[in-house]
Amino acid sequence: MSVRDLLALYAVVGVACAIAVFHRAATRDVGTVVSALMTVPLWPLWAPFALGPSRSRAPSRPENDAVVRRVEKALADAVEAVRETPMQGVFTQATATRIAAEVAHVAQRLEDLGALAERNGFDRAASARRLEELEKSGASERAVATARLQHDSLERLAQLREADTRALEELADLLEALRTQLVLARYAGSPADSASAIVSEVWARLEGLGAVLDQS
Amino acid sequence: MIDFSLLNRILRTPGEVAARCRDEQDVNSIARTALFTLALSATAFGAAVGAWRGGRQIVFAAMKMPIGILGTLVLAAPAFYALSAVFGRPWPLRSVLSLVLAAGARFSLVLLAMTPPLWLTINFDAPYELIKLTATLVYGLAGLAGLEVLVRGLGDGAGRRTTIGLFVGVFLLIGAQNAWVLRPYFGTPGVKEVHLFTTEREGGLAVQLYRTVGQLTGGHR
Repeated sequence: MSVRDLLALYAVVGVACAIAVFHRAATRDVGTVVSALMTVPLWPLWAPFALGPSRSRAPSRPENDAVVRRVEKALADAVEAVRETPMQGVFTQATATRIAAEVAHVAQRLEDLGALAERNGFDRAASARRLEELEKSGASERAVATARLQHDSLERLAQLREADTRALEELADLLEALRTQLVLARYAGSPADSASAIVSEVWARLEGLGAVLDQS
Repeated sequence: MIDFSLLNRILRTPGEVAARCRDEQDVNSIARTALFTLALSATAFGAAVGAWRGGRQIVFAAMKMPIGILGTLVLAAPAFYALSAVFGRPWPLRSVLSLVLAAGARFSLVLLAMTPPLWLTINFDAPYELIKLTATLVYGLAGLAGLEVLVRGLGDGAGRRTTIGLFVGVFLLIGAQNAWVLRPYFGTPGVKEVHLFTTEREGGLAVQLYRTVGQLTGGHR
């Protein structure tokens, strides 16, 4: 086998990896195209990263994982429901992909917040105990105020995470309702106005979630 | 595309970046940033090297330098994965690759930092041999900087020196052969024609080394 044959073989593997990278990507944007193009010459270095499990698509916390799975299933069903119908314009594959990417992003941020809560120095119970000890032992006002600030901040962080977890679950409910609405419109021949309204509602909620998480 | 704060950490706290690679944290970002940094820095360094001849040689050297460096990493990184596994560090592929790429990024940042001095040396009409020596010293310095990431990444424990020693040997062999195949970078003094690749056929670096040793000892011609 000559060097030319080896290079041709290398290029064939590179192109195959690039196609896999493009198809496995959660979103189809410029970054995905660049990643796929990079894979062709650099597949031994880049393909393990581009094709490997992405943290944003694989939250390890079971509750987040379950919500993401519900969302992905609802989106897939919704796309299937509008396939080859006049409602295809209401809910496209591109829309579903974007929603899935946003939801995965939000789930990942929740995952990070959850991981943060489990680290040393972020324990709510410990901070409450510390505050109580300082108050009982008659520690200085400054020490008590610092401990209270720490405890209040951790409480707010936990509340924020709980609220966002609820919001994500409500979003999954909404997407399941959208899926059902689209299935109904397909078989009952009803207009897709209500489905269109739900799609708008989904985007509004996603933007709301994203804004809250970005601030956090 | 490029995370500049990561580049700052690769330069200033290579141990921390190496630990993240080992723990498989943010490895996608490390790999992406390292690959872009390698390509851009090597292009700039190649252009400076080609400036000795000027004209088309600048473009040719700027194209070939990233191909040579990335090609060497492509061929040498699997060896590092195998060596580290054999000598007591059976880490995930992505950990090992990100460590190699972080080392490559540090190497290329030093190359980029040394590009202006090299270009100035050329611009001041320094002799050809001095310019080649300067470029070689820059490579050596960059190599040492990159090596620090690998050494810190492997951490303490048995087999570290063996892994590093064998990997450096493999890397130098592949790197030298790649550089030989892709030459010329500067161009040859006295030769006016500029070629993308040399048209000579001498059997590669190993054969040339064998012949040179033979000539020095009086055995071969």
